[in-house]
This record gives sequence, C-alpha cells and structure tokens, in this order.
Amino acid sequence: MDAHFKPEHYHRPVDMKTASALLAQRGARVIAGGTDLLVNGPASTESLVDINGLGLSYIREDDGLRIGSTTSFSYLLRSPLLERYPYRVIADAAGELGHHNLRHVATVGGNICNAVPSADAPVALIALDAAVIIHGPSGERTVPLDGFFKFVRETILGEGEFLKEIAVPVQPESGACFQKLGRTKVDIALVNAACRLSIIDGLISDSRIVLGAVYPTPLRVRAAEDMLNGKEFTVELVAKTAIIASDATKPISDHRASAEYRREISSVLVKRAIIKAYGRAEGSP
Amino acid sequence: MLPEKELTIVGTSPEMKLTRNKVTGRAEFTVDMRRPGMLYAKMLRSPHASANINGIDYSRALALSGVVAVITYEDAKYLYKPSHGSSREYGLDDMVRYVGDKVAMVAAETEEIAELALGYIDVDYEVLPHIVDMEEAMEPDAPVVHPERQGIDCDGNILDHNIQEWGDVEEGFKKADFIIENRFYTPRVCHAALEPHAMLAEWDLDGNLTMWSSEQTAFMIRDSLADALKMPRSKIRFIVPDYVGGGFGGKYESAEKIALAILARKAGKPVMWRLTREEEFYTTRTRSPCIFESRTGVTKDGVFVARQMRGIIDIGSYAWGAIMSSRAASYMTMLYKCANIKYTGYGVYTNTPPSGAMRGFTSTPIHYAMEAEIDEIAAAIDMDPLEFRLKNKLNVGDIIPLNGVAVSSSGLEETMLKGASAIGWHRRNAKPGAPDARYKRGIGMASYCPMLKGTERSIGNAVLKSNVDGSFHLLLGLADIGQGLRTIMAQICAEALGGILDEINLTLADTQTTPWGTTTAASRSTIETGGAVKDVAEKMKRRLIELASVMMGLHEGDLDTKEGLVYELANPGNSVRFGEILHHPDVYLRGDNVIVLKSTYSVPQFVPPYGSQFAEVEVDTETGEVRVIKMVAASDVGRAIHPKSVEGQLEGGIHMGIGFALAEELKIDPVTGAPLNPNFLDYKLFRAGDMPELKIIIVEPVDPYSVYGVKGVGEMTVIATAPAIRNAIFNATGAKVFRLPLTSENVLAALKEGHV
Amino acid sequence: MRVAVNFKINGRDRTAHVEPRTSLLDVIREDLGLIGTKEGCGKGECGACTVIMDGDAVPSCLILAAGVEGKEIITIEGIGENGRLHPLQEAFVRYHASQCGFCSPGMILTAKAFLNRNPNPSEAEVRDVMMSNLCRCTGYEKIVEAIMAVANGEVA
Repeated sequence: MDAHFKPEHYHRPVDMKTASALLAQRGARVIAGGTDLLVNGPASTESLVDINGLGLSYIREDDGLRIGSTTSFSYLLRSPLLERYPYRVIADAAGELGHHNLRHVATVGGNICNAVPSADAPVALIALDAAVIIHGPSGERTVPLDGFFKFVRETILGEGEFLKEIAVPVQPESGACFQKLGRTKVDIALVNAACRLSIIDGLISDSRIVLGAVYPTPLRVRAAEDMLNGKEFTVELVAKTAIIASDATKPISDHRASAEYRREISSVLVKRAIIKAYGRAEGSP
Repeated sequence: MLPEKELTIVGTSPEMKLTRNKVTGRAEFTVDMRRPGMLYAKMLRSPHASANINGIDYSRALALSGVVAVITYEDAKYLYKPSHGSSREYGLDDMVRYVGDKVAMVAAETEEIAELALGYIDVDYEVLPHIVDMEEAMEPDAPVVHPERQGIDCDGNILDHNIQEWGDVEEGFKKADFIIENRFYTPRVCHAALEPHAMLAEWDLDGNLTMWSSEQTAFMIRDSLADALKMPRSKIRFIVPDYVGGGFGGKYESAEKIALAILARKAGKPVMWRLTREEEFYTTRTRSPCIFESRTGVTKDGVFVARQMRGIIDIGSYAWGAIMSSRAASYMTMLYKCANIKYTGYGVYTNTPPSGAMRGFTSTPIHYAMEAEIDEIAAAIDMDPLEFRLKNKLNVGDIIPLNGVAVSSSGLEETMLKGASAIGWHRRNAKPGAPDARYKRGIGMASYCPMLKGTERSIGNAVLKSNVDGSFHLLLGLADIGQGLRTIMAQICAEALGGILDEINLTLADTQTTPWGTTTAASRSTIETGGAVKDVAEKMKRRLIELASVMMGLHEGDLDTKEGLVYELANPGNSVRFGEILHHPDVYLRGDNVIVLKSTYSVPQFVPPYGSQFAEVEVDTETGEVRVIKMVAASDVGRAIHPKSVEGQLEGGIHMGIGFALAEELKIDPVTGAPLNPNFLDYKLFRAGDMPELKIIIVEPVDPYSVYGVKGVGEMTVIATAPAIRNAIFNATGAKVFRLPLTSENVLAALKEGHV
Repeated sequence: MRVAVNFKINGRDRTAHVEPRTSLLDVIREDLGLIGTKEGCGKGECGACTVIMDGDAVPSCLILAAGVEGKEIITIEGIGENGRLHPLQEAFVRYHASQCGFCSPGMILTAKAFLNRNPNPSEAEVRDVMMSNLCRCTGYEKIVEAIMAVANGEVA
C-alpha cells in the first residue's frame, strides 16, 4: 500500500442518513470491498466510510431484480435468480471480473462507482436497462445506469451521495450475451460487450448493444440497435451492425492494446454477442 | 569407469526436505526475520532516465520523527565488482541512468516512515538527454549512458562487440540452394519470482557484518562486498536463509547490497530492506531485449551450409548483461552441424532497467530466432521440419565447434521421436495453413541445447562431517532457491556413502561455515557440487570401511556399505552400524569419531543437455488469440536424480516459456524510459487455467562424465517453448510472427499481413 | 485514529487496534506475528496473502483490518489438527506441489475454502478457482494434481 494513503478516520455507520452526512465531509470516501481504494487510494483521503454495515448485500426479486450496492460478485454468482437469460448475463459479467477470490471481496457498487471504462458489470447491466438508486443528504434519487457515468473515473455522484441499490427492471422475453477479450483469462477487458434482444414475429426487436473499454464511459450504441430492430436475422445484418457499433467507439492506444485493435475487436465481440443473444432468444442455451 | 551398482536412492523421488515447513507456514524467508532494534529501509529512485546529481539535501528527511539514517553517493560510492566483466556500478552514484535508478536510502523505525521520508529528500538533478531504443543507441550521435567509460571499455554505448566465426560463411553461402533472411525481436521480461527481494544487514561493534538475503549465491556476494568495502572476507558473514522464494537468475549479487551495508553501518542498527512488487519489476535485472538478424543457407536436400547471425543485445543501464552478448554465439554451435557459422554481436547500453541473467541466458531468445527459422526453411524446401532437425543434428562423437569437445551423450534424437509421437506429429498440416475456418489448428516443434558452460571450468566444494552416532552434516556453499537442491544433494550423498537419507542434514550457503560455492545458476549445481558431494561421500565411505575393517577383522575389500551399515559382502548379516564404528572405544579415544572431509570437484568435460518440445495450438483468426492445447516436452536430463523434482523443473520451465511466448513483456515508454506495466495486472503471468495440457517425457542417456550421468535441468524447457508455439502458429495459419510476445494483437496483424 | 476490532483468528478471539488503512495482512504478520501469510504484490493480484474469512478465501492485503469485526479468519497456521497435517498440506508434500514454497500457504487455503463448498470438482473447476493464486516455479501441474487427489479422497 502507498504510505501516502493515510486516512485519519474510519467510520462504519449503521444507517444511511449518517452515512451521507459523513460522506459530505471533506476528504471522505466510501469503502465497500476496498479492492480499488486499497490499491489506488488518493492521498487526499481523510476518512473512510465503510458502508458494509448498511444491509446493502442482497439480490432479490421485486419488480425486476434489486441488487444491493455492497453485494459481492461471488454472492451474485451463487444466486439462483441469475440462472436464466437475460438476467444471467449479469452473472456472466460477474464471473469474468478479476479472479475467483477477488470476487469474494469486490462489490457490484464498487465496480460501477469506480467508473473505469473497462468495468464489466456496467456493460451487462446497461444492456438490461438497469437504473441506480442513489442516497444522499437530500434523500434518494433514481438514475438510469446509462446516464450515471460522466467520464473516466467520474460519475454524477454529488457530495454526500453513495450508491444504494441497482434496479434491473422486468425484462422482455429475450436473449442476452456478454463478451470480453483480455490478454489472459484473468484480465481487465481490452474490450467488452453485451447484447440483449427479443424476437417478435420473426423480427429482432427491443435490442440493446453496449460496449466497454472503447469510450470514456460504457457506450450504448443506439445506431446499432436501430439497425437491428425490425429486421430478420442474417449474417450480413449482423456484420453491418457490428461495424456501426465499432465505428461509434473512441478507443485509446495504450500499452495494453492499440486503438485499431480495440476497434477491430469491438466489431468481432458485438457480432458474437448478437449471434449468441439471438440463439438464446430462440431458446438455445 | 566402474559400472554403477544398482542405485537405490538416486533415481527415486523421496519427500523433499523442509517441505512440511513450507506448507504449514513455518518456513522463515528473509522478509520474515526480525532482529532486535531492526529498522526498515526504503530507496529513493530516480524519476529521470539520465541525470547528473549535483547535490542531495536530506536534512528535512532526517528531521522526521523515526528516521534514523540517510545515505547518498557521499556515503556509498564504492565500486561493485560483479562476477562477470568489469564493473561500472557503485553502491550509490552521483549519476542516474534509468528511471528507477538508486539515488538515496533511508532507514527508519517503520517502513511507512521510511517511505514518507523519501518525499523529504531534495535532489538537485541535472537532467541529461537519454536513449531508450537499442538501435538508436548505437548511432554515433546518441546520448551516452556511461560517459565516464568512454575510451576505457566502450565506444559510445557499445560495450561489447564480438565477432565469432567457424569456417567461412561467405564460401558456405555460395553452396546454398536456398537462403533465408529474417529479423527477430524478443522482449524484456522479468523473473517475477513470487518472493520479492529482501535483505537484512547488521554490524557488530567489532566491525563484523552479517547479512541475510534471498539470493542464489552467498559467496559471490560476500566477496563483492569485501572487495568494495575493503574488508577481510572473514569479517563478512553472508547467509542465504533455508527458504528462498524462487530466483530464476534474478536473485544475485548487486551493487544495492553495498548500499544496504553502508546504511546499516551508519544507522548503527540492523536494517531490513524489501522491495515492493513494482520495484521488483523495474529495478532488478531483467532479461535483455534482443534483435537477431539472421541469414541462413541450406542445400535443397535440407542441409545447413552457412548460418550467420547479427545480434544486438540491450544490456540496459549497467554492465552485468554484457555477458549475454559475448555468450550468444555459442548457442549457434551446439545443436546442429554446420561447417560455417558466424555471429556478429553488439551489447549496447540504453537508459533502461539493467539486464542480466535469466533462465536460459541468451539461449532463450536466440533459440526463438534459430528454431523459428528452421520451420520456415523446411516449408520453403518442402521438407518435414522434424526430418530437417534429425538430419542436421549433432550426434554422439561429433565435435562441438565452440569448445572442440566431442558430444559425450545425447538423447536428442529420442526427444525428437518420442515427442513427435506424443503430440501426434502426423496430424499436423502437411503445408502451413489449416483449411479456412474461424479456428485453425496447427502443430509445431523446436529443439534446443542450453549451453550452460563453455570452456571455462568452475568448481564445486563439499564438506562432510560425521557425528558420533553415524549421522552426518553436509556443508555446501550453494543455496537452495526452491528447486530442491537440498534433497538432491542429500540423495547423492546417501547413495555414494551407503547412508540413510533422513540422517544427513545440510547447511547451505553460509559463508562462515560452509565451503566456498558459486551460484545456484546455469543448471550447474547438480553437476558440479553434486560431483563434489559424491566424491566426499565416497571418501567418507572408505574411511568408515577402513575403521570397520579393524573392528570386524576383515579386509577392506570384503566390505561395502548400505543403509547406514558396513557389511561383509560374502555374509551381509555380518554388519556394524556407522554409529557403532564411531562409538567403538578404539575409535572414540583417537578422536576419529569426528571425521571432517572435503572435496573439490570440476566436471571433466562439458556435458550437453538437449530437448525437444512440441506444441499444438488453436488460433482464433478473428481475434488473433492463440490457445495452446497441448505442450509436449521431451528432455535429455542425463539421469533424473529425483524424477518428480525434474518433472517440476520442466513443468515450471514451460510456464516461464509460455509466458515469454504469449504474454509477458516489461514495457518501457519509448520517450521517457519509464516502466509502463510494473505490476501483475499488466505484466501477464499465466495462471492455472491458462496452462495447456502438459506431457513431460524424461530421456536418460546417462552421461559418462558427470555424477551419476546427470545433466543440468533448471533451464531446459523455458527455451524451446516459444519457438514451438510460433512454429505451431505458422503451421496453423502460415503467418510468421517475428516478434515476441505472440499477443492476440500481434498475431492478428500477422494473419492480415502475413508477418509481423 | 485507532480503531479497536474484535475477531477470531485460528479459533482464538483477538482484539487489534488498527489505523484506518491498516490491512488484515499487516495485522496478521506484524501484530499477530504469523509469518505464513506472505506479501507478494500488495494489490490482490498474486494470492500469496490469501486467508479464509467467514468461509471464503480472500486476498488479505485488500481487506481493511478495521472492517473485520466479528469475522472468523483462518491462516495457514490454523489448519491441520494436533500436529497432523491437513490433507491438502499432506498432498502438497506427497505430490511435490511445493518448490520454493512462497505461494503454498495461499494455494492451500484457496483450495481448502473451495473444496469445503465444492467437494467434487472437475479439474477445470479447480483450475478456474486456482487462478486466484500465482506460482512461478511449478507451472501449477502438481498443485492441481495434489488438490484433485484430496478431492478424490486419495489423501486423508
């Protein structure tokens, strides 16, 4: 750990109001799993507000799914509520994050609030139209997850606000798929992608196409969705859609991969996600 | 040579000594040690790739509560003399030559205080132009990494320039029906042992220094400290603890130990220094990045007529790695017959992390080039690459051009044939390129000989000491770095002595008490020190038999030993235990019961190990991802002293080789020289689920010259893994990738363009 | 500000007084003097610091010590009974799954927590879980072999 990361205070509030009040103080930071904070904790951190005591580790069915923000990824992976598609795409993303033991510690709320472009959970959740419930000093508000991210490591959370819950609405009858490409099996995504779609009267409808790690925030490509909706599934359609999706990306070149490679892989992963999601919508596993 | 009697301990796989301590958490590594009053050290490191230091003011650091001492070049500019070549490095210096270079050290009551104190040290840097690219570093106007050595041993940044030729390559090329030219690049990779470096230094008031450190050598470090600090060697005690968490060439003598010793002296207390994982990646020596430009000629029947190589080896900022350059030519002469071979090499300084020894030395990168080329040549002349290798290989009795020595034993052909059978060589694509499909499969191979030693001779020492009860202490100067040296030496001792394995206890790598030893490296420990162990054990056996013959009233020639007994050959029931011999009043009173014997041994001639590896891969042609389905490694180990341990070395070598092939590279920013991925998130080690199916085949031709016919195993399979995979990709897709690692991005580019 | 935290370690109740950012790894090694848990990277990537907390294997370098109130923690020193090795420890010895030994405690605890929940895994499942721990010496081959031997009841 970096010796400069030296918060003076540790709090473990037992109610949300206290949590928000503590977070409104200068230099206060939320800690849930801690897998990012204990690695990248900024020197400006003065206090840690541990929100694991607020009873936010759960996944339950209630007008769709409700997932508490401090739920660990391994907890999600054990839930019978995620056994079938399209919900299952959340488990697929959860299962690709980090390594097995890390998933006991990392939380879905942390993965979202970290707001790194390569995060796996947001891509799958946005494909299911997830929203987040935010608790703050002036109460609670609900925001679509798609609108939660402003930029790399920047969200719309204001002073004293923290993530309370992820709400996944009741889904249409649909198939979904999550795809990720890394350098080895345990890796952050060079590119990740998710697709959800329904088939109505033989035509694709209500599709969602989301890409990660190729834009400052998770990227939902509505132009690609428009290309698919109302059409019959063909190889050519999928190829065209995949290109529209990759054309919308703004990947960077870094030591992990070049922008050109990321763009190329975006179209491959979107293509594969659409094909798999379509198969699942038809009823195959 | 007398025939070996039936071996009962060598060739078996007993429980490894000390493993129970490892699996229960009792094992004390250097970093687990505590000494009374111990302080903690941290190193201030340069943010610049090249700079002069005009002054360091650490008064603010010293004023912090808990800070005890700070040292700079003013305290520690002592010359470090490495075991290879001449030195250009100091304990601490007033010039820095890479991002991360050592600047100053702090000792404080806690590690946290020491780290915070680094921010209170003011350094007056005069930033200089720097050079990162090794080819640009060779140009006449390039910034110079070691200006103080110009005209002494380097010309600009070129430290080593060697030309080695056997025969006449120009004449050879005239006979070629087919000539191929290629350019290969192999990257900077790291040892990445799980245990980061850790060392502890303590002085007493008589001026004696004791150091504990996780290393592959005790004596070479002690000697370099004694030379630098101008102390008698007897006043430095260097101890490698019984547990070292992996070395692979990276835990070695270094200038940093001089700095730590000086810091501990100034602080007046023991000082523990451990590296962070980040420091482990970019401030310890790495494998040199290499460029190999090859020109190779063959006849249409597939016989080598000329092999030429121009090598540029990036030795980084300090000179230890220069030997990578001067040794490179050797590997061209070890495996295949060719009358005309020429190597032109350059060892070049750059302002990057210093490079040094890593498993396989230069044989690892150069075999990538040499073995990749063979498959391309074979494809071009429409010949099976296995047939090509069988046709051209050196055989027993052939003279190795490098040292004029005849090949004493060789399992190479057996490794090729058994390995080919195990992978199903007949299943490969007859011509490179599987049928069109998203996934393409292919099979490739590579062979190798890691040279290990050239013409220089080095020695092994062993001391064997008896206790009155017939148990023994074996004292060796080498360190066990996790590969099981302790048990293997005990096996050799017990076998040669006729003793009981569990009753032989070893002390290793303590310069105060063990005889001089070199390093546990270069796959030489079993051969050299094992040879000394066998010799001293046989001496002890003869001594015991001599004493027993008096007790038993028999001639020495009528007696032998086994399982801790001396027994009569004609009547095995007539025996005495070693302890009885030593307890006998006639013996006891003469003081004979404590027998201390020593042997020094040098292997009579070079003993070449060989191996062949076969890989089956599946390439995803849409993404470039390469999945290794199966890896077969057939290795000529001479004889496996401890077969399970040998398997473990070969399996571990494959892991390192696969990483080198597919995923590992320490990336340096080409502009700033800063490391980009000094952590496990971005320096990709293979994990359990990444590994392919492995098959290990051990081939034992039993060399006539070495102890029990053994050959060095430690560096074997890391070498041929990458070229076998590359050749499998070539077989699967026809794509040639000239640079490592074979990441999905590099492979996809090669699939599109035909090569990368 | 120091925080008092009460937890159980290897079956014994302990209290530690920790700074906010102290990791569980620091408490185990420095406060409790248990050296079997190692630091290999400090970032949760290598698994050398693995302990079992409330039944799950976790990287202790990423666990905030202040947050372990009421938890049950097991380190490598806490498995095996009355001087007998736990079957996983026995298997690591028997199958030569330990070379330098630095990764062994973490490997064994990851395997133990997993086998407690999944007593009959396939080799693929074992390999997937064991990706939590890095090894540079063995290539994982004998580690997986040892774990499968315990899972198959070949080591008691």
